[in-house]
Amino acid sequence: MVTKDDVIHIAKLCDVGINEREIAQLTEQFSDILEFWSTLDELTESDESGRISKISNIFREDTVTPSLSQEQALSNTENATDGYFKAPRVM
Amino acid sequence: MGTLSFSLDDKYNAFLSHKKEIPFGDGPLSGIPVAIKDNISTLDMQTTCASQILKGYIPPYNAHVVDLLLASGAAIVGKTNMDEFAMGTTTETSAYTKTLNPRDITRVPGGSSGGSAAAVAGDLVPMALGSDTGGSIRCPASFCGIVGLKPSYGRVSRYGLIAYANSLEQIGPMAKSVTETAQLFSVIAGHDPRDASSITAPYEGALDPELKGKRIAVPEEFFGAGVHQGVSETVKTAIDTIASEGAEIIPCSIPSMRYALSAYYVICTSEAASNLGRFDGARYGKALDGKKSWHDAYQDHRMQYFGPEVRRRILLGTFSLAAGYYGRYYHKAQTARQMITKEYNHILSKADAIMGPTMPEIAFPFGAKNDPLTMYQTDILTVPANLAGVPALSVPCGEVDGMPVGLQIIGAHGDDEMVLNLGYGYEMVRS
Repeated sequence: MVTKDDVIHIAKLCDVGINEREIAQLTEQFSDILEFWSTLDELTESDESGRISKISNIFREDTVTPSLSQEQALSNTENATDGYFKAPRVM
Repeated sequence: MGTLSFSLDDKYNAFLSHKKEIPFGDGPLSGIPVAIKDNISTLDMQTTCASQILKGYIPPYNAHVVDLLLASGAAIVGKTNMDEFAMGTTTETSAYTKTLNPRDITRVPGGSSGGSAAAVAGDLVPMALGSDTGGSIRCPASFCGIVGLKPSYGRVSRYGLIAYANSLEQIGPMAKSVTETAQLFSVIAGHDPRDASSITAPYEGALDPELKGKRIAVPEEFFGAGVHQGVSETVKTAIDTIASEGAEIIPCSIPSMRYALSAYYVICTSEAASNLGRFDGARYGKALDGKKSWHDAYQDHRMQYFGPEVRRRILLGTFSLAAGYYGRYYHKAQTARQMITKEYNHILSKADAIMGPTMPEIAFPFGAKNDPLTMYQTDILTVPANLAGVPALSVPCGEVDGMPVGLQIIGAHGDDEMVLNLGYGYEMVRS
């Protein structure tokens, strides 16, 4: 069972913002979805079968290759200042 | 070498943007118009993932597959509509437009690569690229009556594919025939050092239609509860046709299928919650309000410009990764993924392919599935191939109520050749 407080807490963790109407709706939807996910409760450690990917240890030489220029990197922001991205104050 | 004049009468709203004059070079796809899903980066062409948050974003580089297409002479005509950030099964979550199914405009085209499927099915282009995280190529291929391949994980570079769930997704080809699908696949498959999960396995493109002696595993779970009876019967008829050509049918069971959908949605939302953190309005897309403090600005920005399904999946993923829930959801989902992979590998060590329906039903009317869980459940037959990393093809195999049905052909990891050959062989004998 998911509570409204759970939804508010999670929304805060991932910074997606949330309004009152959504809190009620998502609480109900998440309860249904988590109930559906509860089939996973049947699984135990003995069901684990170790790594499955055939790929391991992809290494490459640490060589310098061309990358984006400063202009290219800044080409999609509306908030560039003196060649930097400008972000809101954090503190 | 030349210039393609592309005049578009987009009556299905398949495209989000397109070009009118496209220069192209020499090569195997010289002058062939190809459409690209809007989550694949194209230098100098807007790439939005059908989201408001990326409105106006013009990538400063091409995805690896786009460079390969250009080198093959293809004329990239435009970017196709999709579910926002590829999160959906109908293309209805696009922030921009409603793509119609060319076979019946009152029905969804499937998703999330619905624009690419509609562009091909509606004869706007002969081939297109989609991406498939949990069925996003195969579902719209099935719903629109075309061919679509989700390649083996690692066979096509994901460099420049805007990430939703990295461990599951692949870029893949969509076209009207297996031959064209294979032709497009031969251009995009191969190793790329910029994608660490990329494997060295180019595709030679030589198709072999031989069905005689092939061993086809048919799992009972693909014909179980929730699968429309007409779809079931149509696919069984297709498998009978393949058997009558000398293939051996092996009935089997995949018990771990009962965990597949839950495992898929835990893993994809967890990866999405992490991946979509980068859309902070500072570096690209819609700009953040600089007057507010960081958390306020960031929250308001993401609330305003992410659609409801994207926000729902970020929240769900954050939930499954959060302290106190991780062991119960994310860890268990990884265990389920191991089980599913093991069972698929076991069956595919004894059979050449697994066959069943691509989707449990035909394309449904717009707005038919408003509840998220009901929508998620339509992915049950496509997500296992993504969890196991194996190749899967959807080929049209008949109709129910005038709408196309897809036959799904799943092969062993790395054996995309086999699924394409079987699809080609079936196409040759299909009535």
